[in-house]
Amino acid sequence: MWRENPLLAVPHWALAAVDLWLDCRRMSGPYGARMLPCAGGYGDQPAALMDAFRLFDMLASRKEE
Amino acid sequence: MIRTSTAEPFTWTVPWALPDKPRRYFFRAGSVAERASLEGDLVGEYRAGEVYDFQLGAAFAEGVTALSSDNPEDAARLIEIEQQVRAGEEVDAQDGALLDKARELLVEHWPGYRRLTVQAARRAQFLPLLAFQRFCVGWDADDLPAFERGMDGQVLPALLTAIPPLEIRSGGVVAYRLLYGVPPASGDGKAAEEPEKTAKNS
Repeated sequence: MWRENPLLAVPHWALAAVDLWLDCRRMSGPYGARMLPCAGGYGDQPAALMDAFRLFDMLASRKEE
Repeated sequence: MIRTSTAEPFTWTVPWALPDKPRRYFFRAGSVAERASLEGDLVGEYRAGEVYDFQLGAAFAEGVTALSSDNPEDAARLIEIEQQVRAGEEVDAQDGALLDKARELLVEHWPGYRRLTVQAARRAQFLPLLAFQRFCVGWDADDLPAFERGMDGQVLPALLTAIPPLEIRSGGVVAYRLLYGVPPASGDGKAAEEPEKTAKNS
């Protein structure tokens, strides 16, 4: 039970980042191939978003363990 | 704030501008490569790499120990005060004054400490300027000339001279923080939650 509805407490930009991460994860190919959110290669992606993706991956892998 | 695009601008409203004369700047979030390039240029070209607290602390301890070799107890006391301050602990006024004096002396007489303080000062000056120049994609202010970028995609240096230095400094910090997903600090005015879709002149 949450004291506060997380949907109201979390800012929109954070939810957008999580949604994007989930979409990219869903569309990623086999053997670790990763779908990137923006055009270009890894270096062309928004820097902070890639940091966030790394954190999301880490949290997800912890949960899977 | 984490931006999901490197093209979509983010609006920063100058908090101290008069309400009837709002001034807005538009920044975009940098990419992984652009962030690396900025940090690399700061370290290499501008000799303004990040200075960490522990580096300053180590240089302080080294300098104090060497310069007070005939009085190791005082040196140990000074190092202890410096560590307390660095850890955010309160020290009394006398110890604070002693620490200030020791830092001044080290800047003058201990090259390792001086080098780090100079580097930190250079970073404080260059970082906002470079971030502003690279990531500003437009502005909306009556008294500024039309926004224009050079062939390198950066704001033309000649235009920077028309912008109030404090706005370059504060806006540049906002742009830099976007690189790391850090929300604008309080007092940054109406730094928009929602992206500005139609940046003038961008």
